[in-house]
Amino acid sequence: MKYLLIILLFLAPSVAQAHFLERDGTIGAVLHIEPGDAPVAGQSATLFFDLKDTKGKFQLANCQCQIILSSDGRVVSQQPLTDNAATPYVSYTFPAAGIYQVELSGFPYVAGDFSKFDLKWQTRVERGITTSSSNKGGFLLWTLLGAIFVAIVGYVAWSRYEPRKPRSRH
Amino acid sequence: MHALLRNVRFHVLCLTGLVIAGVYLRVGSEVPEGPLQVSLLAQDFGLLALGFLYISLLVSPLYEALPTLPWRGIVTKARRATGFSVFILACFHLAYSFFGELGGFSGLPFLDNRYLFAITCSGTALVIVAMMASTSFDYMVRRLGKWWKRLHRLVYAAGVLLVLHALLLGSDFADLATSPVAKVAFVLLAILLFLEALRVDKLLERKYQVVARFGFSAVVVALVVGLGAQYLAPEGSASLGINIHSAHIQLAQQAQQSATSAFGFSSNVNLNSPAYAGLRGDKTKRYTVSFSAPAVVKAGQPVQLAFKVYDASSGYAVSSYSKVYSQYVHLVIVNEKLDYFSHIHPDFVNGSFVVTTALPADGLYHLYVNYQPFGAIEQQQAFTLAVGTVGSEAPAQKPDNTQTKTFGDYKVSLQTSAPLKASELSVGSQTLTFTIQDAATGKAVTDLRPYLEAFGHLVMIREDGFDYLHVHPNNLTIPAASDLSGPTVTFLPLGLYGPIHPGTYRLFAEFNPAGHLFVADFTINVQ
Repeated sequence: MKYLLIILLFLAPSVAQAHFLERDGTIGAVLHIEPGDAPVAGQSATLFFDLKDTKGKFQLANCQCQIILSSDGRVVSQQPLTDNAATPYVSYTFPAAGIYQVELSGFPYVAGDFSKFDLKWQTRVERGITTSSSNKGGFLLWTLLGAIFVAIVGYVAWSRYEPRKPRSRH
Repeated sequence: MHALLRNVRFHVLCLTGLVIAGVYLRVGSEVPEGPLQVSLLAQDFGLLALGFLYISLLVSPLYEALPTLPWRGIVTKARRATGFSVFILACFHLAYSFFGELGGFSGLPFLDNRYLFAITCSGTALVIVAMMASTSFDYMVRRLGKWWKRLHRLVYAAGVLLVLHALLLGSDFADLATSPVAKVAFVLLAILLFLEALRVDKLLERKYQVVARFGFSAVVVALVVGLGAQYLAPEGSASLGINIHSAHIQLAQQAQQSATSAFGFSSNVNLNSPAYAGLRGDKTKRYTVSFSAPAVVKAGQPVQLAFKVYDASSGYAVSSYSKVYSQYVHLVIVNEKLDYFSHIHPDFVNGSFVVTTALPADGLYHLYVNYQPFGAIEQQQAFTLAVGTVGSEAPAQKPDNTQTKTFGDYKVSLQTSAPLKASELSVGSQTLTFTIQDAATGKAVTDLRPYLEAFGHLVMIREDGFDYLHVHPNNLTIPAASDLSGPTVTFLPLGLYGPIHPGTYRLFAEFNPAGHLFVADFTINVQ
């Protein structure tokens, strides 16, 4: 069991610098990336920013905030971060596998609202996989795990209840 | 030494050491040193701590349910060392996640309540695990007596808290549909709950003579099967609900849907691509541009042109812009006959875009500006400028008979997959391909260099009405300055500012082979 877990862990892909708090002055943000904090090249990824100002002055609607995505010092995308959800986000399809830098910078429309900030993360983008094969793999894993569960429950139930009857006669 | 080697607890601790070394080796070989490593280490040590905790929790109920299983003595003896390993691995996870990723205690004020709750759960669990680890030695077992067992029963509380922590924050536990780790964890947890429920049933039977043949264990099985079936159903929600990523999954799906339906396109145009950065922003924002030029403009004389952009809703001048193809503003100038073309980039001076240029002959000129105010989508406006005496000239270019023309040292051919149709062009279903050859040798040109972050820029202007399109290659990745391309460049026109109308169009395509920028012009018909 222990070895199985270790093998599973070593196979599990885990790639993004997600859940990383970056701070600049009084403003901090945690980055999350869908799908699964592990973006894949060629598939749409959504980057979420949990923003918080310890002074409580920051409001995204008052900020000229922008997201710059770059790879090897080359900007691949530049887009504004708007007040589009409770956790603001931008969508982007990473063109190729590799390590990308995510930069969130902002300054207020009205000077003095909050101090300007610049936050940087890294994320590794995996090479693309086809959806059909991942679905097939997912179903196979479910079947295997379901069979293990049924086998254990069945075996335990059988071994617990069946041997009792002869014992109770003594 | 011999006794140590025969002690199973020593082996478990050695195994833990090997696992830790393995994690460092794996992470070190996968990503360069830096924050990404910290994230990977935090994730791996967190999962390992959960795995070891699971094993130490499984031992008792498993042997109670299946007393005939072998190695009961060794496994039970090893359990204390497994518990100690949980503490070691949890400390590694704490170091990388709390102090590495979240910046330690000074980072807490920046986190929202969901994080703080998840951290409180894991912090409490860590205190329990630490108490258990510090009393895992024979001396403490003897010293604490009956209190030792009571203290160590707190492991169940720690287990529940850590499951909550993982469900709230763990990237691997957000989506049962896609994450193999979540699937394995779901079934392992189900097995543990089933075995624990059996123990409860047994206790009820022993203490209260309640025959629980279909007791808690049956309830657990029913729950697991029910939940599994829900997640497996095609319309079932795969998200575990309480995880902070659950809302993200929904939003990401909505974002994907809105991206494909934006502007009513159902074609294969990828609006998330970097080339369409100009389309990301507030689509409702409107701008007015005040254009100023001298009252009298003479042909061939320098003339200063200025554009000032105002937010139409507030009236304030716009001072912040995003770059579009490496420039804050693109100004295209053509004459009324559509045989003069200029693509220049005014400077931002004192709140206005200003440029000095000279226009070659008398007549009416059409000016087009493209710019992207910060936070809005790319904007496009047109103006006219009279130079000298304006006559009654009109575009009189007829569609080209030949699709191959020579421009200085280069021969350029234009191909389209089918006769161009306005309805097809409007939704990005047709492309225009230019092939560039050396005019003297006929050799294909393969040293096209990027000009303004693209291997070509194409301006299309309709003779009737002077409709304007600024088009870029369909290869959406912004090339590096050192990248080369050629001999073909394919452009993908789109009706971003309204449908493309049929008519005769003048094309002005800019290419930059070996640093020799030139403009290729064609006249085509769009049905």
